[in-house]
Amino acid sequence: MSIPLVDQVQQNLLFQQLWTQVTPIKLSNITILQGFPKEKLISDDETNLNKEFVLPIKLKDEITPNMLDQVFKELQGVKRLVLGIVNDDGTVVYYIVHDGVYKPKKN
Amino acid sequence: MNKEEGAMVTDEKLPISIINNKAFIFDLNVIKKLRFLGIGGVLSGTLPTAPQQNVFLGLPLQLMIEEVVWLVENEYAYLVPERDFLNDLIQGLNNDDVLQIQNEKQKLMDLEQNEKLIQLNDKLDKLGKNNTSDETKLKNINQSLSIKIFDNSNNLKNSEFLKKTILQNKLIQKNLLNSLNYNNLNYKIFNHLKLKNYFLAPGLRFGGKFIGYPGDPLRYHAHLIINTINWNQDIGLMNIVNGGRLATGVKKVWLIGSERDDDEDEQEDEQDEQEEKDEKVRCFSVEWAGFG
Repeated sequence: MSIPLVDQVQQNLLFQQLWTQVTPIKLSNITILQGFPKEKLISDDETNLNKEFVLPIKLKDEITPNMLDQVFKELQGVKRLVLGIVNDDGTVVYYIVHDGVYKPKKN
Repeated sequence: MNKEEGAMVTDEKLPISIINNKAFIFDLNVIKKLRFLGIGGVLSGTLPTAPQQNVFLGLPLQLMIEEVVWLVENEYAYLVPERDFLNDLIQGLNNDDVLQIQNEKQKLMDLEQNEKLIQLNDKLDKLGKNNTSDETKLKNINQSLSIKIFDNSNNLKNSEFLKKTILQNKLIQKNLLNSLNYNNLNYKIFNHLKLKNYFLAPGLRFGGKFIGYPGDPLRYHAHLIINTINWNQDIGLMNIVNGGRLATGVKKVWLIGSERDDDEDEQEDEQDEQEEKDEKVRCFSVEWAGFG
């Protein structure tokens, strides 16, 4: 009866976080989501609203540097990725993964 | 670091004492020079009367193993072995070695003797009582001549014999370095961030391997909580949540430092070896997204 991982994160983004235009994209091994957040993800961002990429993943899943590298490789030029981490109790938490060494934001 | 300070630092190599596989600096001047190189270490000395002291610590300074490797690889420092090593060395001395050491000692003695003689002559001349021969004076001087015993490894470099056998002996330096059993990935990440001008300190305070400051820790707050993870090792999503939330809460990012596996990038062109080694390092910075 459980809903597929990608759909669950997509719906959470749309209806709880109020993102817009959230659509799945297929990469070679996994499906990720793209969409626009309600507000700027990072207040230091120069442009107003960026298209963000969300990698849905279950809390129990493994994630390695190699996997992150693959995703960044396929999303050429994308500087950051959002992990949508899903627990079995219905919570979804979001963590940004920046490509490379990132200076923390000022706020 | 400005140029003058840099020049001061590179003048001569600095001694790092290796004791029980830990690295210590006993000389305040060396600590100052290391600071200009972006090497902070941790003060670890207590007062003899207060062995449980845990604030206001003093000399010696203890270095992280990665700091030691970086200093030696970049030829800023050499390693000074501990007593067991020197005992072994003494057991293995041959006659020529002993002769060389004795000669050196004699030279030092002669030097001091001459200095004392000149001083004495000056004094007697001033008093107008300089009427004994230099020979008898030397006899008297020799009786009072003391042998200086240095309490500081900074003086080891003055011994030609030790210089030759330990301090400038590449094989021995390499073995001493290897005896520290350093983790290669940790060092690669350390070196990578050092190249980006980060000042690194031990990371236990924030639950990481290192903490990264954008400059001297006395002037800046840290920016990075640094973790080292192998290329195909699970980072652990719970660690990402723990670390990311903590780091964002204290205005830092939670950094994952890793290194590409060897077999993957063999098709890449050959480059400058050092550069190539560093190019395999791959970092990701984690922070809380601010929602969810």
